[in-house]
Amino acid sequence: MKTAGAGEAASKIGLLLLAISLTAALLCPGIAHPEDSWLKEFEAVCSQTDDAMDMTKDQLDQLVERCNRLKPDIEKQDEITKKVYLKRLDSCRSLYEFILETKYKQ
Amino acid sequence: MKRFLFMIVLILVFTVPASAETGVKKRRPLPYEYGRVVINNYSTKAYLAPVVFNHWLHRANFTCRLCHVDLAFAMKAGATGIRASDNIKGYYCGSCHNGVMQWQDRKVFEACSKEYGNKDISRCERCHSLDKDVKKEYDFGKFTGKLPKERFGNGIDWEKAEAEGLIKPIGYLPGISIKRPQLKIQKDFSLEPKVLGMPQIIFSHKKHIVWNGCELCHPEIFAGVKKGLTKYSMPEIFEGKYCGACHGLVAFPLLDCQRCHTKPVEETPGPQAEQKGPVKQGISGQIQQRQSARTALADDGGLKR
Repeated sequence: MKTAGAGEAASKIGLLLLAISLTAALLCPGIAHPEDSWLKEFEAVCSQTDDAMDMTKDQLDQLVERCNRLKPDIEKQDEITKKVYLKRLDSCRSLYEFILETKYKQ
Repeated sequence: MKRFLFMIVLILVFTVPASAETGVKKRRPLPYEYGRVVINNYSTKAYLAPVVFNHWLHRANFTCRLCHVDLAFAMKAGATGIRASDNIKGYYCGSCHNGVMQWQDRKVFEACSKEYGNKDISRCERCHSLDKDVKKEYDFGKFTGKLPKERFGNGIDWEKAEAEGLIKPIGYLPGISIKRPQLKIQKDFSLEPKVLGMPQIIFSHKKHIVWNGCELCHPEIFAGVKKGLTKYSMPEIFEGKYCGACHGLVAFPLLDCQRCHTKPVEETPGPQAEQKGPVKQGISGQIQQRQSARTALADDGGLKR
């Protein structure tokens, strides 16, 4: 009897915590901000420029493709964010493409 | 009358060429002026003086890559098109000049706001300072006093200054830069000059990637994908292509030949194979070498005069 009561209380607390976290997710745009996903992808893609020389053609191809897919998302941003991040994206995409071309010609 | 006309002709003969030679010669910048960029995209339209940007102060504290890759500043003066509103939003100069960022013992002053009053003028004029008598926070002489000296450019051997730990340029700005793994150093390589007897160029990737990373140079400045395929010429470099994108503007100037042409010329067997010892370097060496080569060819009947 005592254990059943404790279990019920635990499930109530669990439900309460779930409700709180869902409300927080809806109210606070800083947490799991859907618009920031492009920025995370940008950082993931362009953080590999220093390793690019050691990558295979396939890996480089994939990175170029990821850059291409990311471009339309950056184009949706405000004017200055778009200007800065498109230039940054272009410099890392161009590097991947340059190394890829180098590898094909070698 | 004839004597009068003769005098006029004589004056013209001497003064016209003399005046044609003056006024066009470009003055070599003083050490504190070297690398200076004047930006005037919108300043005068906003009734402000053009911005004077001193590379020497910024390059001592930050890598080229930080500003020209992470902050997206263009490599050509005026090409970025910076607006006050961009700075306010935390881009370009506003990435650091935001009144919040702490640098060493002081706060980095805030960039201009879109609207400004009399009390803001002194702050605006810290950058908008062309032809203005503005007292700068950092004095070139004091700042560079203890740094190793060089002959040209800023008169500073920046590379040596960094190697000796006298300057520590940072390459990462939290919230803006991307965390990258440590860059593997690519091999150095030599480039054969076109001029006979000229020492070879040893290109050091190590020296360049410390400040530039890869994407600052490739492919925008160096687009050739196969070694030896692109022919670099000094006239093109002097025009600002290839190495001239930095050297001659911010990095040590092209007058400092020996900093790139470093590898002594090796003796090669040929018509003048009997010549022992190292091949003479420099212009006089080249002339002598060419003359002896001509003589040898003429003796063989290979070159007719």
